[in-house]
Amino acid sequence: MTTLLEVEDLRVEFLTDAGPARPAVNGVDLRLGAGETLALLGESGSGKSVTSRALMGLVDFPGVVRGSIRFDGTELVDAPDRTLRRVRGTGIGMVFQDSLDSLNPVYTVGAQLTEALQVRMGMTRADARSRSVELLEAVGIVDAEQRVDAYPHQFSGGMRQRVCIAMAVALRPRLLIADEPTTALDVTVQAGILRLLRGLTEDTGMAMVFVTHDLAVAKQVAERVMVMFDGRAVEEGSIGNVFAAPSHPYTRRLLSAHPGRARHWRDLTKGEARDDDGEETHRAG
Amino acid sequence: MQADQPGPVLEVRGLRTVFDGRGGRETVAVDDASFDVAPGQCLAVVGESGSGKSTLARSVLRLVEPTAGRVRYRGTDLTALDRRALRPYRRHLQMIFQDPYASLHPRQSVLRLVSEPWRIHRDLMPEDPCARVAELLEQVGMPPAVIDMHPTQLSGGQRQRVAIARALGLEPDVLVLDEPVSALDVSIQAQVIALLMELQQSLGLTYLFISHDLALVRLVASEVIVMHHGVFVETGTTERVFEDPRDEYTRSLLAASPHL
Repeated sequence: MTTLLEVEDLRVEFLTDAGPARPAVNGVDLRLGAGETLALLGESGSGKSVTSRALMGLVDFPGVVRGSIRFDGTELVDAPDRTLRRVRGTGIGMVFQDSLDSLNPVYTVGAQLTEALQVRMGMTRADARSRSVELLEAVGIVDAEQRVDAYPHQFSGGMRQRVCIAMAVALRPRLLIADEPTTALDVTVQAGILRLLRGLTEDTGMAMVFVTHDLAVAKQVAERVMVMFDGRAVEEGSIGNVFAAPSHPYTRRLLSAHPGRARHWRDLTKGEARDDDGEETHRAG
Repeated sequence: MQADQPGPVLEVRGLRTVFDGRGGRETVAVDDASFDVAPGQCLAVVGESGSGKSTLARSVLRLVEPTAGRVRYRGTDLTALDRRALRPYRRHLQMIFQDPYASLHPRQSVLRLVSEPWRIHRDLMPEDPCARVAELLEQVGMPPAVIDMHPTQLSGGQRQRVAIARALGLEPDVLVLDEPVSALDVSIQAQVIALLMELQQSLGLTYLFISHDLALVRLVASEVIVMHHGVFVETGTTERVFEDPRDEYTRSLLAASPHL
């Protein structure tokens, strides 16, 4: 498998008036082959979201990114905007947790889709529109022909997230970064989105970095997992192996805390060495 | 008043809550809900967003006024009382909300937050409020040093512990827990659930547990109500509902929940 994404010693610090704060990402390495899906798993404050934002070049001042992120051979750390603009969209697409924030409320979803297709793929207006309808159909929106002229607020949360996915994959990116794309959704809606994302990676050979705090969700979409804690990757491997035989104490604790694994509520805290400071280290964001 | 009386702690009959919408359109959030909660039981209400589970919880406590139906608490019809007469009963039924960031006043100290309810329920005012607050904090696993801190200095899990301590200060009989751990990281969620379950056992509390998380409900509840579009589609013991779901929607909900 050819390496699509290669990250070496990634470090992200946020500068404060008192100097640099504790690094949000502290020496992360990762490799992703074409068509592969990696789950980036961690709790709040683990650095998983900052890592995914760094991959897209979305860490702005006062954040400082160091190390190396090579996408298909192109170095993205400290790359000029021109390079980033070229890579974003056609190289790397992105889907965020909050679909309402990602879409422009004053344009129809069709206008937002066709704009990208016209500008980036050089399509005519008519071609871009019919491609938009196809994309909406592909992500499971019924009556796409009519819905293409609807505004973001006219969609439910789950349908809006499908629109975001349609936009992210419109330019056929080779890598999709999905940051907690189903966290705000109901389980029945989530199941559909996860199936959709899996189908897209299987059908198009798109690779995916799926950021999540949910172990069960990670298991549904990815074959590999990287567990993050306090800005570091504490464990990495195939999901089957890591979940069956976690080697790092944090992974063990995370697994035992998941209600899906426990037989009794007392099992939930079994993985803990009862450290009361534990809570301090993952201050909810 | 507690535990020594036989019969259910809560008896809900034909509860219906309707919200008025724009243009005279009505939304029936809860329709004809009837159930009992036995003393010391944890009854879970599960459903997705919009199912009416939170409105049901709020209607039982009359935080939202139900349109019709009865709620009896240990024999007293709460729905028949005017707001003044209801007040002394409020302490027996306390609510823990999902978002401890929103439910605790950010500018007040933990001492103030936990002792505040005693200003209303004056008969419960301890002789030494400071010492009692420290005791309550210990009961929820918090060090005494947090007593002067503000919610902004606490983590999400710590805030939820403060919210629990505040409820316990009123020596409640029933806790209505509306998604009490949904906003927390899974490892913190585990700790808060363990705390709630230990408190339930040691204090003999009765829980009405509102949740969307089926895996969690399976561990904490003895009985489950599944809600969909304001209606109970299935009720039963937790084991029966999970092992042998009879309703189509329950089955789809169970199938959609990701397994580990």
